[in-house]
Amino acid sequence: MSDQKTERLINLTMALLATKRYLSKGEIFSQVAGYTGSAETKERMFERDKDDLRALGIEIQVGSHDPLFDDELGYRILESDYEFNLGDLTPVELSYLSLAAKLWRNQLFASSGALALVKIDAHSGSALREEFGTSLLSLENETPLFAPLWEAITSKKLISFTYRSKTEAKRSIAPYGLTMWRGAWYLAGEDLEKKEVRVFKVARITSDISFEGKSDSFVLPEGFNIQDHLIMVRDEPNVEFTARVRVGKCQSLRRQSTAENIDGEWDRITFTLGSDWREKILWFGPDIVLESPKDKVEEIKSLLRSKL
Amino acid sequence: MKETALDRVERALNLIPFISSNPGLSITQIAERFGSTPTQISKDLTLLHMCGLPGYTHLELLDIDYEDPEFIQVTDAQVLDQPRSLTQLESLTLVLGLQLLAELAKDPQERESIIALQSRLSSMIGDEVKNSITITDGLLETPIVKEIQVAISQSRVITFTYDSASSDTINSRRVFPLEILFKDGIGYLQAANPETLEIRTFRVDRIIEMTVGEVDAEIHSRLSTPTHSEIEIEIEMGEDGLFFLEKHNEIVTSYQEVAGNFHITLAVSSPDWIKRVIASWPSRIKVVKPLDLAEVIEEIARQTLDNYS
Repeated sequence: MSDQKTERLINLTMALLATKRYLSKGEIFSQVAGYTGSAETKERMFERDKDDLRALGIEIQVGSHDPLFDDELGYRILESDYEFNLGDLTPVELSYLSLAAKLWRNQLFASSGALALVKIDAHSGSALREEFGTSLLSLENETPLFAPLWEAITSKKLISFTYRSKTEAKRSIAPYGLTMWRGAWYLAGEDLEKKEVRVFKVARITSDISFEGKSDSFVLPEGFNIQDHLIMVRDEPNVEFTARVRVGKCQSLRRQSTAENIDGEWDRITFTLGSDWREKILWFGPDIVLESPKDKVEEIKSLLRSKL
Repeated sequence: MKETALDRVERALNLIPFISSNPGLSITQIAERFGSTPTQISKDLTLLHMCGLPGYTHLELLDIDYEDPEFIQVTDAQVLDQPRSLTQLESLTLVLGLQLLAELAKDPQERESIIALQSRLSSMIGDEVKNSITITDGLLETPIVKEIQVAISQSRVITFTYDSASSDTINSRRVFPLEILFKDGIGYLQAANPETLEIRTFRVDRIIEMTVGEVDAEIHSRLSTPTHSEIEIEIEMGEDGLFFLEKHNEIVTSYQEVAGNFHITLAVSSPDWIKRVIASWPSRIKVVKPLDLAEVIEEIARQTLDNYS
């Protein structure tokens, strides 16, 4: 059963691609292998086959043999719609495309990248180009939610999911877009309860994505730009620190400035750090003693006390 | 998941042009590229053999030579000699990938040619999709990545000075680079020691100076699965355990959350590193197991605090 259908769809694609004019249904039923049964059965089969090919992204043109007469409608697939149209690719471009396709570890992009490469190699005859290793460069941004999010965004379906921030709660969202920032994916969309655009880190979604309703359930606001909603992208304040550090220690902090020697045991250095200054300083344990700014010194001391 | 007739049609329509332009591949090689099995590809070819253009005599049928599983070729592809156009998703995958590569390219000319290729592909994607899935600032600046990439692709050993965060020392390393992995925008290099074949991970932004050395094409065959000796660690922490899980997910083996308190089990191969991670976490982490680590962590906090009195 399934073999027959597969065969018929391939035969139909080939016939519609080969024809230089529109083929009428009658011609299709009599010429293309696989259409059997009553007129009604064939009709139903063909309607389904058209939908199936469209679902595969194959565009079928509908037109008539002769525009002057009110003719029966016919069907064809244009080569220009169907065929790979990226033009010729140089070996260097091929290697960029290959790297770009293999960068991804999330399932959706990994498999679409592999398929894209199959097409590119089918175009360029480059399946055996030399490569070492399987992936030279990859992104660890695996999220099984990527596929449903992609579907929701591109077909404009409302979704709901459970999200962890300080508490765990269910969110209902009109998903507008995804963006990657520093290797992690963020989803932007209208929070249907709060009636405003919110940004969610995909890694903090703790449930599956449920689709709530049909396609085209919302409209993307005019001029929507996901970047406008990313608060974390705005520059974080940098603070300048002075500290005593043990001779030969705190290598990564020393790279920022020249050390001033105090005695056989200690040097003094100045450096700037962002919002993760606590971790960066505590990383070196007793090999660093913060001297200024004073409020940060006090904060480090009380943090250390809390750890005892 | 069971394959549908449509999945098969899609693969079949890609198989013919692929084999047609790349004659002489084995059935196994083809299966690998399609993420399928040799048995399935054989079935596909048998089925395709029966397909063709109206008329369906040997002149119109697809002509595929697949008797020798080591040498597959298509002698007549009929109208299927050209691959299908890229889908929106496939184009987007490449466009975003190229954008990251452009971020990494150091040479301005190279960056330009990557961006030119990217805009060629980009024109094939609908505006709405293009604006919905983007990269804002993909990777932290790591110019050395490109040089390492070249070394990996040529199977060359590299030598560099490394600022080791776990031991807080700078020293010279000679390694065989295997892969660069980005996590939270930071590049990590997986590399093997050419003598012991032990595999280590280095942060690319801590590599200070690097030179590319000789080719060692045989090393891949000498590398077997790395054997890590790992220690198991159990910790307890408050609600920011969530951020710990996110930041260090690769070492987490299991966790439990009870009323905002996290109990997390870790498998770690570097004791120096985990000691610093726990001691520098901006809230208290209680080490449940092993006990000697708990003592070490407390001792670090005590000594550090003593410096201030």
